[in-house]
Amino acid sequence: MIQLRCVLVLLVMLLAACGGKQNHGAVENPYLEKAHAFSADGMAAMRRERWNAAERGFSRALLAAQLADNAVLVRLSWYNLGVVRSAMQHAEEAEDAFRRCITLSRRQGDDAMRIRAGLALALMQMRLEREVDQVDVRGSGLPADIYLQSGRLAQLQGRADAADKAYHSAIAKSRRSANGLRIRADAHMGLALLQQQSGDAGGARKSVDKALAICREIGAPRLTAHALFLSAGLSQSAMEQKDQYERALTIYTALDDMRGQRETLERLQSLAEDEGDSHALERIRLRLHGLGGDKQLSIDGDGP
Amino acid sequence: MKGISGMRRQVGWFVVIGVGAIILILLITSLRTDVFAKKFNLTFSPPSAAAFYVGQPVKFQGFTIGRVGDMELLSAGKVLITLRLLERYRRMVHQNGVARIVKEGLIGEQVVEVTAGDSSSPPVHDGQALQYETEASIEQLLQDMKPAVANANTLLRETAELATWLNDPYGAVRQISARLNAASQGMSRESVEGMVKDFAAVIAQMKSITGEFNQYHVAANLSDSLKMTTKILNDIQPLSQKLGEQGPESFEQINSLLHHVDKLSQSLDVVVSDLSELTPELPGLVRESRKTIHEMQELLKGMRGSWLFDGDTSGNNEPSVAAPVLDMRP
Repeated sequence: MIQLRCVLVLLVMLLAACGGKQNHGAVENPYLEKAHAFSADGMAAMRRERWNAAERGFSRALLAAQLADNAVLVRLSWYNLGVVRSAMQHAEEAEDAFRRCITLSRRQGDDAMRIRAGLALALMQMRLEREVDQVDVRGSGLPADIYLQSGRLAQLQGRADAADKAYHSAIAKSRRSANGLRIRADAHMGLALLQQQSGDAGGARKSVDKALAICREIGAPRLTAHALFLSAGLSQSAMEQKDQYERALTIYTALDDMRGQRETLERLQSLAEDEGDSHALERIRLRLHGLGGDKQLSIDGDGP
Repeated sequence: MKGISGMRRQVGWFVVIGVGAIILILLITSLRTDVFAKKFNLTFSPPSAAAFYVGQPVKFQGFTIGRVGDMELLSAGKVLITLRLLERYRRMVHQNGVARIVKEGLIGEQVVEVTAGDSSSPPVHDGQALQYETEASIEQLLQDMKPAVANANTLLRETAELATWLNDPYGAVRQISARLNAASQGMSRESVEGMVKDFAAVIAQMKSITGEFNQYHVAANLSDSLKMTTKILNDIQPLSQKLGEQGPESFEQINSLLHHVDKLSQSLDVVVSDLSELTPELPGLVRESRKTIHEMQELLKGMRGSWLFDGDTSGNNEPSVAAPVLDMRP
């Protein structure tokens, strides 16, 4: 018994020596610190759709990572740059960034990053209706964002079963952090769209409600508007439909999303016609007419 | 002959209609997009060009009236921004109008805004230099900092509670301490003391940031928060020397503390992102604050992950991979 106690005490001492992190006296690479700080700047800007600021942050992070000669951060910065440039609709520059990331990842044996960048590139090519590069998404223990992108790609290519599986994996793998929850919300929304297409209105409602709950937690206005729009379409009650379309319209207007505004106004127009509300109908028609007006000069797009 | 003449006439009509259609499309396009509309230039000199880019929209009363046409670094080190605006709006902008950079909403890019100025003064002329105003944006930024400072207060309150609890001579910690202290001394004492000291420096930095903006009334709100924060810090510092001697017992308390540090860190990320666009002078200070907070995060994660707290270090080590920007439009 005494021997056992002695062993336990020794074990505890050994574990204690391993526990915790000792950073005191360690030399820090200032360029590495800068790379992390600029990456964080870019991420913060991305969460608020401030693409120019995000691109500046990631460009600086890339330069700092190159100066620190940190291969992992260099690959990561190229990927982040690709994502933000794709969101800015700068397709050529985004493709260049993704391809650089893929080349480096292949050369340095980073499969997860290679698949991630490959999927992001393929999704951009789908959006631009270009020929899509093949991506081999085999591998175990991949992060949630890869499953999400894989799911979306499968959905756009009409492979519903693969999309469903990938979205469920994305939900299971996502962490409880700002990015993780955003991935989970996107995956629930993807599932809702799949279920709507397959005629499972009940399942779609449940999924869209989950997406909305997460959006309210993390603040993702564009996805909130899309989810409200979808939820309204799934609702049986005219009152609920009107309420949700109006909430979606408010968000689309704040985001200056012309396409979202137009589509929502068209749905509200149909509802007003069904109700015979001539006053509301006139107001909606005026707004629809105004959307083609001269408030925006030329290049202000609808965003991603 | 008659057949050839008819064919010539048909070809002629085909060409005339084609050319006419092209001219009509060009005309409609030019009218709708203002590509060929007459324009005039205005200039202004901000302290830094960091927040501007060529093609950035210029708004007047909420309407886009032009774009940033050019950006120049003059020989004296001054920045010169040239705005290219639609001539038809020239009469609405008066001599004492100002240019400033504003956020259109809570989301999206920043735009340049031109104000009307005093309507009794004459309209601006082509090439005129406007005054650049930064006050509104900085005020807006300080408003943005308020949640971060409020978070710092919560964090400090929790640290103070933790310190008091740990220092309680009749607490359970004292009863189990001796052997465990010997094992964990190296990590806890120095780390926790260092953490509190570093945090004191962060708060001092925040004070110095707000101190530079005393002329703005928003700074008064921050100042109150910081007075409270400093008071708590003064109470914590002597206690911090003893923190390591016991080592925290409660995993929940460490988690809660870590949660607040995370929130504070995120708030500062947002502030730094805004500041880096507006002015080159401030981010250095805020960046240093953020670095210290990140160190605190690491330290707390290390403490949580140590065997003492039966913790898990894997939970919050999020890589800086941008979340995919997908179009999930129904």
